[in-house]
Amino acid sequence: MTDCLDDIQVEDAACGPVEGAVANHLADCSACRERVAAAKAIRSRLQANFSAVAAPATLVGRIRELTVDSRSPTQRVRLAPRLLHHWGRWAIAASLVLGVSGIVFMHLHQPAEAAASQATRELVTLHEANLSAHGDMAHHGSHDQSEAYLSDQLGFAVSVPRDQGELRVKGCCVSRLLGRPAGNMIVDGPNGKITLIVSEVKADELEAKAQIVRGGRKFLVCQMKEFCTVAVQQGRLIYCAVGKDRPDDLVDVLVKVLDQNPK
Amino acid sequence: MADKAKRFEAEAIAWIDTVYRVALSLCAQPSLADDLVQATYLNAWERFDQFHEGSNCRAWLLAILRNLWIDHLRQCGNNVAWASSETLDQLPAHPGPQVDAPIRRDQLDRVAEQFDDPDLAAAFMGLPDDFRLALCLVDIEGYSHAEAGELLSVPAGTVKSRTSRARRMIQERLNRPAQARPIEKVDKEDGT
Repeated sequence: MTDCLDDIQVEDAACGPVEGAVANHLADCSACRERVAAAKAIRSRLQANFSAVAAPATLVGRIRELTVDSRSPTQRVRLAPRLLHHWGRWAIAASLVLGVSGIVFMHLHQPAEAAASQATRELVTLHEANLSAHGDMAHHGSHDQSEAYLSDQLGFAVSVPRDQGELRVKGCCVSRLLGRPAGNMIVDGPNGKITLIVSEVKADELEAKAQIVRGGRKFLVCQMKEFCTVAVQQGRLIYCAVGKDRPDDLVDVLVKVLDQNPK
Repeated sequence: MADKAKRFEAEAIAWIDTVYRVALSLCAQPSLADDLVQATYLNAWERFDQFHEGSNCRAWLLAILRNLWIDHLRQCGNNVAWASSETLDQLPAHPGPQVDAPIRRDQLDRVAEQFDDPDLAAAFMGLPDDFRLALCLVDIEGYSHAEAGELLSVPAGTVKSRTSRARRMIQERLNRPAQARPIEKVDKEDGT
């Protein structure tokens, strides 16, 4: 082979082993060796420069949130068989409501909601989802079963209110608050339905601007739309109550929950 | 659901850096690359039930990415880069990227600054779209010419032609004095 290499042959030589006539020619032709070397040099520089480029962590996190972590806030995994049908319907309905409310929120940017913290918005969204599907819920019936279920699913012990007076748990499931697992309970309270959320979210993440102190405990209060959220730190967990009740009434509920199941 | 999430994490999200690099090579704009990668993964997530376990997930993701990019180009009224891939090889080299062009110096600088060798990065990002993508697949992602050709729906010979020309263009651009590089010309046209 006496003719110099064409571009394709140089390309092949730059990207892989050379043999036969091409190898023989390269052994004799310094010009072609230089062309191959130049192509290899660019290839090496590109590899060195670009191979380490990684997707931004924020992008990876966002994609995980939208895909593998996009569990419905009312996703249900395990309960007594007779309840599964109702929970499934509840989860689907809640997903739809959350999806629609999320889109509406993003597009409308209502000023009042924009002022609320992300945690407050999520709490209210969870409560609205619970309310919208409540008609499909079956009464759970077993305090111990709910408590065992939530603790097992979440990896931490959760205090579930015992049925007493006007306080009755209608059901529970695993949700997410600020991307972290959360126990989600819908409760019949003295003045209507209340959602109780238990999570490892920190109190300061709620960005509450008001508080009520009762029995040495500090209860953080937020308002959004017609709903009130009250939260209290209990060890590493935070217990949140959401409803249309007055803050003091929600504090009463939380006190009952924590005092009857001191953990 | 849990199984799907586990599989998706292991098989699809595992390739996110590759998908991002290819997206960045396609559009040369980090914000657009972010959007493309996100759209690719949302699309893949929706269709993941159709993905056969054990198939080449990287190639599947890149095919989705490429299709989304083509859609984007069409929406932008740009049919040069992909619709005429074959004829593009016959055209004289033209500066890319072609979407949202002309790319401004500051945009390109922001991309180039992410790399240890900003001159090389700027030269690479300044390649025509098809050339840049072919070079990305072969040199950076390690695809063979045949594999890249399959992904791009062009013969391996076309990929070789593009990578060969792309390297030569990079070499020429790196050898050129800075003020003679096309990106400077865009600056002057912008009056910046």
